Amino acid sequence: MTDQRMRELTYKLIHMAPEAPPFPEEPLTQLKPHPTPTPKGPARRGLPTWAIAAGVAAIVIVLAIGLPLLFLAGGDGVEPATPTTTPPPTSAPVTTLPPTTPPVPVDVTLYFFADYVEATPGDGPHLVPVKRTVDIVSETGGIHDEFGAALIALIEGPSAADTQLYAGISTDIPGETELLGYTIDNTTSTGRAVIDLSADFLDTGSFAMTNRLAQIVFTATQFPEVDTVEFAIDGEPFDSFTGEVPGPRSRDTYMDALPPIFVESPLAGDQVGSPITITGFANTFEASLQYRIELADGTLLADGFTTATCGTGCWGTYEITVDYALAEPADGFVVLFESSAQDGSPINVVRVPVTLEAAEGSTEGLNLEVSSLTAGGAPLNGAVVVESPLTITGYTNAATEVRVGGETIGVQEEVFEAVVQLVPGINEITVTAGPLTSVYTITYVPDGTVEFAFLTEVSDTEIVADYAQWLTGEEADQAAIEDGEIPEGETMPNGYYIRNQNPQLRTLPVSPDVTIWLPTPAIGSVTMVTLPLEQWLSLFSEDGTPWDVETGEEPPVTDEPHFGYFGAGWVGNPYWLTLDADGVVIQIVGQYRP
Amino acid sequence: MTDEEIYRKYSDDLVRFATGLVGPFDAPDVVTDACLRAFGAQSWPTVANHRAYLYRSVLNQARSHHRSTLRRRVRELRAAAPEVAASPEVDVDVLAAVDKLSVQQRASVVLTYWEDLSPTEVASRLGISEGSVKRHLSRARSRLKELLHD
Repeated sequence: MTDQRMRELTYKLIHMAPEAPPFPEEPLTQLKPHPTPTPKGPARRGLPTWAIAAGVAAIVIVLAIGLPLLFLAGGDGVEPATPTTTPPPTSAPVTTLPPTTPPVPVDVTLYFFADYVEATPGDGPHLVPVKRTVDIVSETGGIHDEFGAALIALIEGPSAADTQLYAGISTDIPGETELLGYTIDNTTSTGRAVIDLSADFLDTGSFAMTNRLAQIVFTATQFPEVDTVEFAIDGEPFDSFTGEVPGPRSRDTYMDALPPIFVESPLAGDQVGSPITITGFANTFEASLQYRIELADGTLLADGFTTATCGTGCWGTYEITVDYALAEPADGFVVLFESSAQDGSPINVVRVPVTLEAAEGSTEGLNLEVSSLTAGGAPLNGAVVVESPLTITGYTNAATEVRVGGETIGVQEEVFEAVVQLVPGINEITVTAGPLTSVYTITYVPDGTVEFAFLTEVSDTEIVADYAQWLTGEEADQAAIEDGEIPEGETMPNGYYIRNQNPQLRTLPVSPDVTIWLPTPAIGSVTMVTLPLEQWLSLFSEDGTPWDVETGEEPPVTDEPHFGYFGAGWVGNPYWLTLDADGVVIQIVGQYRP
Repeated sequence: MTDEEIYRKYSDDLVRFATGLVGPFDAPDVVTDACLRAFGAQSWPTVANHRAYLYRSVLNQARSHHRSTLRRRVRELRAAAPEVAASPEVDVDVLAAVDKLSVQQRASVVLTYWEDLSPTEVASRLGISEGSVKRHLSRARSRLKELLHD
C-alpha cells in the first residue's frame, strides 16, 4: 500500500464528511451509553446468562445512583439509552436541565513492559507500572467508569511521557484491540471481572500472550473490587489463549512477569514528600532489600534496608517509611535493590523517577561529627591549616554516603574519610549525611608552617617559644630508646615522646586575630574549645611566664579557670603554633597529653 | 474568542476528522458531543490550544462510540444497494475497509494523509508516542492492503 494510495483512500473517506452541525447552544442531557454491557442495548452480543445477571446487577446500581439524571433524560429511564443516535429530548423544559457533568480526571495505574531493572543478569523486560490521568465522564461515578477508562488507556499503549520515564517501554497488547464491554461481580468475596475484547486481542505476531494477559490482569486488579479476571472475545466467553493454562486469572498467575523487586508505590512521575512510603512485592534472597532516596545527580538523601514478609523463592510484601531533608523541591529517584549474596554488590536495582518535595526531615538519633587531622587535633570548624588538600575524618550514623564539598564519599561502619582541596584564605566546606548538614569554615594559609613548642613567656603581642618534636608510635619508641628514656624493646606508655634537643628560644610576633584552641575535659573524652587571647593569657602568671610547681610559683587555689584546660598555663605544656609566611603566629593549639 | 466562535472556526475540520474516525453518519453527533464535553470541562477556560484539545476530545468521543455502529451502517448500505451505494457521496467499500481499522489507526491515518502532519505532530495531537503512531500507520497500511487486495 503506497502513500499515494493511502492518501487517495483517506481523501475518499474525508470527502464523505457531512456539513458541520450547528453550534450546540444548550447543553444536552442525553445520557451517554455506559461502558458496562447492558442487557438490552445494541452493544450486547450474546454474553452468557451469568454475565447478563451481573450486567443487570450493575444496571440496578447505575439506576440507584443515576436516577435523577435518568429521570430527566426524557422518561425512558428503565430502558438504557442507546448510543449517540438517540435524539435529544427537544421537548424537555430546558431551564430545569442540570449541566452536563464535566469530565473528572482520575489517576489510574497502567502496566506495560520495560527492561528497567539494572544489574539483573540475563533477565528480560518486566511489568512496569505507570500513572495515567484519565478523564472520567461520570454520570454515576464509581468503579465502572474508572475501570473502563483504565483498560482503554492500557490498550492505547505507552504515552510519550511514559517513554521519557522508562526508555523502551512497550505494550504487548495489539493496538487494534478494542474494549467492547465488561462486567464486575463483587457480590462474593472474590471480585470477578469479565472483560470483553475484540478479536484483535488474539493477534499473534511477535507479542507474547502471557505478557498481554499479565498487563490486563494487573491493570484490572488495581481496583479493590476486582480479584480475578476472565475474558470474552467479541462477546463470547473465551479461555483458550495459546499456550496459557485456562481458569480465572489473578495477580498470582503472573507474578513471574514482575522483577524480583517490584515497586507499587510511588509510581514514576509521582510527587512525593517526606516521609515517603514505599510499598510493593519482593522475592529476594532472605527477603532482604535495601533502599535509597537520591537526587537526580546521585546525591543520597536517605537510605536503609528492610525485609519483605517472604523471600528466597517466595513473594512477600514490604512497606518502607523513610524521612529525608531537602531545601528545594527536586527531581530524584526512589531506588530499591538487594545486595548480591556473592559479593554484596547491588543487584535487581529498580529506580523510580519521582519529584521530591522540600522537607525538613527528622534527625532524631542521627549524628554527624567531623574532625580534621590537623596538628593538635584542632576542630575543623574555624581551623587554620597550612596544607592542601586536607584530609578530614568523620563519623555518622545518618547515611551510608556523605557529601563533602561536592564529592560523594562512602561511609564504612559509620566512619568516613574525605580529601578536600582548599583555596588560599577562607574555605566553606559543607558536609551532608542524610538529613544532617554541617558547614565548616577553614582558613588555608598556603605558605604557613606549623611548629611544636613549649612556651616560656607569653603576651598579647609576642610569645617566646622553645621548639621541640612531637613523636608518636614507633618513631616515638625509637627516639626514646635512642635518648635513653626507655630500655631497648620497650614502648612509650602513652604512645608519644617529646624530643627537645635544641634549647634555642625564639620570640615570635602574635597576630591580634590569633585563634587559640585548648583541650578541655568532657564527659568521658576531651574536646577542644576556643578562647579569646586575653583569657588564655590570664592562665599564665602575671609576668607572662608559665606556673612552675618546682620554683614554688602556683596560681591561687581559688583561681578556677586554671583547672579547666589540663594545666594550659603551666610549665611543660606543649602547643602547636601555626605561623603565616611572615612568621606571625596565627593559631595556637594546646596539645592534650593523657 | 467565545465558545461559539471557536466552534465555528474548527467545526468543519472536526467533522472531517470525525468522519475519518466513525464514518460520515455519526460524525456530527460525535463532534457535537465532544464539543459539549469540552466546553463544559472545568479545564476548558485554561486550555491554550483549543484546536488540539478539541481533536483529542473528538478522538475520545469516537473511541467510546461503539465500533459496531459503522459496521451496521455498512451492512444497511449494502442491503439498500444499488441506489444508496451508487451515491457519489458515500463509498461503501472504503467505509467497509475503514471499519476494519481501530480508532487509533484511523486517527493516525487521517492526521497523516489528510492533515499532512508528521508522525511527531500526530503523536502530540493524539497524546501517544511517536513509535505508536508509526505502528498504527504500518498496521493500517498492511490491513488495508489485505482488504483491498492492492
